[in-house]
Amino acid sequence: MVNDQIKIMVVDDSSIIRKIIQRGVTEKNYQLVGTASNGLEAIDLFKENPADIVTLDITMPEMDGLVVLEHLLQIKPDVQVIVISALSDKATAIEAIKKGAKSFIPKPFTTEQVQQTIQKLAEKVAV
Amino acid sequence: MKKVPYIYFLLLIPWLSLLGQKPYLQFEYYTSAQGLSQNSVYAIIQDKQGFMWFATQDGLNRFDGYGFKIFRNENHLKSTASNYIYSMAGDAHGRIWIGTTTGLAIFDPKNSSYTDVEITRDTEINQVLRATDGSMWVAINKLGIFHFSSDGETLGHYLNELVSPEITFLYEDNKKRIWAGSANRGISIYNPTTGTFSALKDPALQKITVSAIRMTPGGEIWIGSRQNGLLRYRESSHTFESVTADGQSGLSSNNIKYIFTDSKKRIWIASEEGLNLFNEKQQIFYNYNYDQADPNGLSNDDINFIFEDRSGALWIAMNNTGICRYSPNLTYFKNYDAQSNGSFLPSNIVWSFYEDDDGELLIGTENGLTIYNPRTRSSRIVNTENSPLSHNTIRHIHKDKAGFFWLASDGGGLIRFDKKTGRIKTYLNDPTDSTSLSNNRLRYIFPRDAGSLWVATLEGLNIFNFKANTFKLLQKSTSSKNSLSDDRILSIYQYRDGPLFIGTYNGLSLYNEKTNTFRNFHKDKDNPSSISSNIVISVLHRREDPEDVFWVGTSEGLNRFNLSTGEFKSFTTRDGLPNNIIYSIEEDRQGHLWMATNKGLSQMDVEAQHFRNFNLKDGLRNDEFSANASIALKNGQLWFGGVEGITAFTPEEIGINENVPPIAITSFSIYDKELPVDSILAVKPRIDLSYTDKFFKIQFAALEFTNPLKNRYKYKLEGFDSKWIDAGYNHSASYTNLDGGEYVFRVIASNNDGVWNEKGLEIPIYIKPPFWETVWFIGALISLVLLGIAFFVHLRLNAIKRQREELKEKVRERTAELLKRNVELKRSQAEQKRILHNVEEGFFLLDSGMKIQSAYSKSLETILEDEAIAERPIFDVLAGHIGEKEMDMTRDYLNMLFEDTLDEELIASLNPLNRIKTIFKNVDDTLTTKYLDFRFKRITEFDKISGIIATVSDVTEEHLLGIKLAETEAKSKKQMEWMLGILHIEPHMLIEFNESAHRELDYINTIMAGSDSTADYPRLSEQIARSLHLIKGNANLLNLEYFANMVHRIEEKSNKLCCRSPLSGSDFIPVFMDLDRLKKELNELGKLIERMARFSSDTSGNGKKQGKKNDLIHTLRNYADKIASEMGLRVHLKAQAFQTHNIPLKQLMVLKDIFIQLVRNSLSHGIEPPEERRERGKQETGTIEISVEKEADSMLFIRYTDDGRGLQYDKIKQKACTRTAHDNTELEKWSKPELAELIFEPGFTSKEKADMYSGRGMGMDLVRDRLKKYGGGIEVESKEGEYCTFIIKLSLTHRN
Repeated sequence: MVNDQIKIMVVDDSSIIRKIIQRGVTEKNYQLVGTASNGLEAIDLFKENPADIVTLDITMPEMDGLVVLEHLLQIKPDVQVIVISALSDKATAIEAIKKGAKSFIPKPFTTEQVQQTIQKLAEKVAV
Repeated sequence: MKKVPYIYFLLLIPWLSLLGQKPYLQFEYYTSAQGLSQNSVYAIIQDKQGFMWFATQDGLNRFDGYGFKIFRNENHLKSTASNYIYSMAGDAHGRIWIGTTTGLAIFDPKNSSYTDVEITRDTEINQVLRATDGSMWVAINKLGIFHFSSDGETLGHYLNELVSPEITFLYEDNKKRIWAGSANRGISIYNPTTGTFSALKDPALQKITVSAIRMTPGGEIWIGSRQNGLLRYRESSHTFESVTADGQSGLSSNNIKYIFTDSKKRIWIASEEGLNLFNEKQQIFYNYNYDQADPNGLSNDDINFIFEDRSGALWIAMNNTGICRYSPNLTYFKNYDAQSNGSFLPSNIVWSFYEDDDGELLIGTENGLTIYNPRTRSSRIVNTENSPLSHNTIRHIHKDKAGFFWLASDGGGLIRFDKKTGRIKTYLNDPTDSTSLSNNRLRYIFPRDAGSLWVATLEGLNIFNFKANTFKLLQKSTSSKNSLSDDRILSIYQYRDGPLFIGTYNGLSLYNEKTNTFRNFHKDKDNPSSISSNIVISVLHRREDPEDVFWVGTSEGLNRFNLSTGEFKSFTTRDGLPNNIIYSIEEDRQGHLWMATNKGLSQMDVEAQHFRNFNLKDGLRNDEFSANASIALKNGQLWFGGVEGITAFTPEEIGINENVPPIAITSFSIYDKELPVDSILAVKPRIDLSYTDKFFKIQFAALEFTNPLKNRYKYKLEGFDSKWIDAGYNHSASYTNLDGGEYVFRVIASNNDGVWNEKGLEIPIYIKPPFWETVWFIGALISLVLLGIAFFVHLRLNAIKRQREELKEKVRERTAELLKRNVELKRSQAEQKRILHNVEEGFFLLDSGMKIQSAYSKSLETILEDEAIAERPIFDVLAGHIGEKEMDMTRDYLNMLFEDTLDEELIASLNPLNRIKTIFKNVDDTLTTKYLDFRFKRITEFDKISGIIATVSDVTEEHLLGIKLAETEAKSKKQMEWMLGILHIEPHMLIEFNESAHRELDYINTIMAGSDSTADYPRLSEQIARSLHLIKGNANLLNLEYFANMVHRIEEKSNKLCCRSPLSGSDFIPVFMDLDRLKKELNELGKLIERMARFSSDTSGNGKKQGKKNDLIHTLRNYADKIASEMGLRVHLKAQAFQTHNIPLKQLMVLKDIFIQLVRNSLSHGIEPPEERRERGKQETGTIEISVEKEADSMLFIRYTDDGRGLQYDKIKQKACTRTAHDNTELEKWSKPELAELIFEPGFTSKEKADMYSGRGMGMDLVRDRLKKYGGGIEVESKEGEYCTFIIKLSLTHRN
C-alpha cells in the first residue's frame, strides 16, 4: 500500500504540535483526513471519516485522551493509535497501551520521530 | 656704476673655482600670497616648539611649514602696542617681546594676549635683545636703553651713561657684553661684571649710524652702518678697517642692514642692494641679487634681516617681498627651460645631448639643435629656418672620429653636421634607390666601424657606409627566428666588443655581427626570469658590474640582465620605483643608477637595491622625461631632458637631511571652531570634549623646514584606531562620532628624507559620555542585578542538568558492562559464578512467568534486603517495598515487555521502576527509603521473547543529591519570580497591598489581645479566616503568587480550627506562628518597596491619588507614561474615539485588564526607543491609539493599535522552537498569520526574559479566554516595522 492511501488524523490541543505532526504526515505523502483540537471534534471527525492511524494527545482539556481512545477503538477496532504524552506521565501512557494504543511518542519529539513511528504502524496497516 | 666690478668679478671665476666656488642659492618664497600678513619682514625667531615667527609692519606671523597664522593686536584698550613690529625676542616663558612703533609689549602665544610694558608706552622701540642670562635689553628711540627681567620688571634704565640717547642697535657678544651702537656718537659697551657702560669712540665711528654689530668667528667686531659700509674692528689692536662697496671688496652696498654669522661660520651681510656672503680666504664678498633670469634667486635686493633655523635653513627677511628661504640640506636641481631670460633652449621638449671635447653641449630639441657653451653661457641655434637643416626634431646626436656630427631627425632623414663650418648634408630615403636610407624617421645612430654607422629607424636597422654613401637594411624576417625582433627601433647600445643591444617596440634584440644573427628576448608571462616588457627603451652597463650584466629600461620597469644566463630580474614600483616607464638610465660617479621616468627621477643604490625618488616636491620643474634624453657630463653632472626643459644636477651634492623634525599641533577644531589647545594643555592634563562634539579635526606639523612639503606623518587615536594611520604628506586627522571615554592622540613625523621623529607627540583626549548614559546607570544596575540572579539560577540549573546526565551515563555504562558480562557468562559457568558473586549491581533474569531465575548476582540480595529471591515472582519480592499503583504499572509494563508488538526502545521510556522509591523495614522497625533503578532488556530466542535480563542498582545517594539540587533550583526560581513579580506591579498598588495586609494582621492582633475567654475564640477564628481571605484575594489580584500561596497554606490550617470545638488557646499557636512569618515577609516587601521608590521619581503619593480618581483612559495613560519614561521610551496614548460611558462596568473592568496587558506588550515589544524611531523615519514619540471601531448588535469592536515594531516573527519562531523543542525549519514554512496566532498560545511571550513590565501579566492566551467568556474574541494584525493592531470584540450584554 502506498502512503497516500493511508489515512491519518491528528488530535492535539496545541496548534504548534498539530502543525508539526501535520507537516511530518504530508511530507511523507500520507493522506491527512483531518486535525482536531479536542476530543469531541476528534470523535465527530473520526465517525465521518475513520483514519487508519491517529496521533492522539492524551492530555486535552475538553475530554480525556483515554476516553477518546476508547471511542475511537469502538468505532474502528483496528485503528492504530499513537499516543502523545508527556514523558513524566508514564502511567497514562501505559494505561493507553493497555487500552489498545499501538505506540506512543513522548514530548518533546522531532518530526523524524513522528514519521518513523507512523511508518512502523503504516506497515501493519498495509499488512 | 656697478657693471664694472661685476664683469671683473666674472673674470675671476676660473680662479675662484679652484679655491671655492660661489655656492648657488636656490630660494623658496613666502609672501602675502602664501598668507603672510604683510610683505615687509623685520625680524625672525624660532620658538621652543620649532614654529617660525615673523614680525612685519602688520602683525606677527607663525609659520608651521604649510601656512601662516596671523596674530594682530586688536584690543587696544588692553594693550596700546601697534602691529608695526621692528624687532622681537622670545623670553624664557615662551612669550615674545615685540618692539613696536608705540611701545613694547609681551605677546603670549598660548592665549594670544598682549601685555604692555607700561614704562615704554607710546615710545618707539628700536630694538629688543634677549641676553643669554634671559634678561631683556630694549633700545628706545631717544630714550636710551631699558633693561628688564624676563618677568617685565625694570632692572635698569640707561641714558646719560650712554654715548647717545639715540641707540640704533644692540648686540651681545660672546663675553656677554652688550654693545649699543648710536648715530654718529660711537658705541657704548656694557660690562656685566661691573654693571656699567663704557664708551667706544673713534673718529671712524663718529661719522656713521650703526645699523648692525656682529662678532665674527675670527674674533673681529663687524660694525655695519647706514650709508657708510662696514667697519671691521679689531679690539686687541683697537684698529678699524673700513670696507665699502668700492668694487674691490665685492660688498654690494654701503647701506648695511644686518650682519649674520651662521652655524657653518659663514658671514652674511644683508644690505639694501643684495645679500653678501664673505669669502674668508679671498677676503671678498659673493653677491646675491635679484636676477630676472634666475627663477630661484632672491626675490628682491632690499634685505632687512637674516635668521638660521635649527635645521640650518636660512630665512631672509625681505623689505616688501616677504621671506626667502634657503635650505642647504635640500637637494638642488637646476632647471633649464625655454622661457627663462637668455635661455639657450629653443624648445622645452628636449630629446638628445652630446658633450663635445671643447666643453660645448649639443642639445637636440623639438625645435632644432642648440649648441651651448656652459662657460660663456652663450649658445647658438641651428634650425630649419636659419640653416639647411631638414627637420627640427633631433632625436639623437653622434660624433664620428672625423669630427662630424650625425643627427637622427624624426622625419628629415640622417643629417651630417659640421659644427665648425655649420655645413649640413642630409641623407633621405629614396624609394627608387634600394641603397638609400630605409625611412626618414630616425631614432638612434651608433658607430659600427671606421667606415660605417648603425642607423636605427622606425622601419629597420641600416648599416650606413659613409664612404660609399650606401645604406644596407636589416629588418625583421618572419621566416627567421634569428632576425631583428621588430623594425621599430628605440635605441642601440654596445659595451666593448659585446653584442649590439637593439631596443625595439617588440623585444630586445642582441646582434652578433660575427655570426650575423640576432638573439631575441621577449616577455614571457610564465617565465619570471624573462624581460618585464617588450618595449625596450634604454640599456646601460654599469662600471662596477660584471661584464655580462646590463641594465635595461622598459615600459614596465627596470631589468637587470645577465647576458650569460639570459635571465632578467625586474624592478618596478613595487620595489620602490616612482613609475615603471624607464626613459633613460645614467650612472653617477658613485656607481648609483639614475632613471628618468614618467613620474620624476629615481636614484638606485644598486648594492642596497634601494630607490630614492625625486619629484616636483623636491624642486624638479619637470617630472615627465623623454626617451634616451640624458647625459652624464664629464664634470659629474647629470642632465635629463623632458617636456619642460632640462633637469641638471650633481648627484654627489644630494645629501640626506638628518634633522629629526620636532612636531607640533597647529590646530584643534570642533566642527570649524578652533580650540586653544596650548592654553588648555598648559593647565589641564587633557582635552575634554563632550559627546556632542561629534566632529573634530587635529592639524599637526613637523617643524623642519628643509622641504616642508615632503614631511610625512603617521597618526593614531589610541582607544579608537588599532593601527597607525599613514597620512603621507597630509598633516591633519579628523574623527567623528566617537563614544565617550579616554583616548590618546599620537602623531609621528619624518623630514623630507624620511628621518622619523619616532617619539612624536601625544595629546590625551577625554570625551564625556552622553548624560543619559549616566542617568540610566541606575536602571542598568537594576537590570544587572536581575540578570545576575537569572544567570545564577541558570548556572545552577545547568549544573544540575549536567550532574543528572552524568548519573544517567554512569548507569548506562554499568548496564552495558553487565550485559556484556552476561554474554560471557553463558560461555563459562565458573566465571559466571565468580562474576555473580562480585558485581556490584543487582542482576537477575526473569522468565515469562515473571519469576526471578536462580542465577542472580549476590548484590541483589543486599539491594533488595532479601535472601530468598530465587524462583520467586518479582512482584512478590517487590511487594511491600513499592506502592500499589507502581506495582500495577510494573505488572503492565513487564507484560508489555513480553509482547513483541511494542518497540523495545519506546517501551524503555515507560519503565515505572526507573529510579523508584522503595521502603524497607529495618530490624528496629524503623523505615529506610531507598531509590532503586531497575533496567530491563528482552532476551530473544528463535524470534520469541524468552525472558528478561534485569539490573538493579541503588541510586539513593545520587537521587537525594539530585533532589537537593532540584530544590535549590526551585527555590532560586521562586525567589526570582517573587522579586520580578513585585517589580511588575506599580509601587502604589504594592504599598496599598502591604498597608492593608498589615492593617488586617494588626486587627487580628487587637482581637487576640482582647480574647481572654474561650468564648472569643470562634470570633477570632472567623476574623483570622476573613482577614486571610482578604489578603489572599489582594495578593492574587496583584499576581503575588508567593504571598497568595503562603496565605493559602495558613488559611488551610486556620480553617481546620473552625471545625474544632471547643477551641483552646493552644490551637491557635501554629497559626500565629505562621502569621508572624507572614508579617516578617510583609516587612521584607515593605523594605523592597521603599528601595524601589528611591529609584522611581513617581512615588506613592501622586500615583495613588491619580489612580483613584481618574477614569479608565486616564489610568491607562498614566500607566503608559510611567512605564515608558522608565524604559526610556516616549509614547502618547490617544483615545478620542473611545467613549466609555455606555460600556457596562463589568466589561469596562475586563477591558481595563486587557488594555493594561496590551499597553505592557506595546511598550515591551512594540514601541522603539526614540533614537531607533528617528532612524526609521518615525516620530520620536510612539502612538498607541484606542478607538471604537463599531458597535453592532450589542457587540463592541475596539481597535487597539501601536505604531511600533509590529510582531517580530523571527522572535516568535525562536520562542516557539524553544518552547516545544522543535527545529526551526518547520516554522519557516508557516505563514505570518499562522505565526501571529502563536501569541495566543498559553504562556507564550516573545520577550527573551521576563523584565520589569512584560513576561508577567495575564498573557495573551488569558486575554483571549476572558474575551471568549464575554462572548467576544481578539484578533491580531501587524506589519513588521510599522504597526501592531488588535481588534477586540466584546459583547455588551453578556453576563458571565
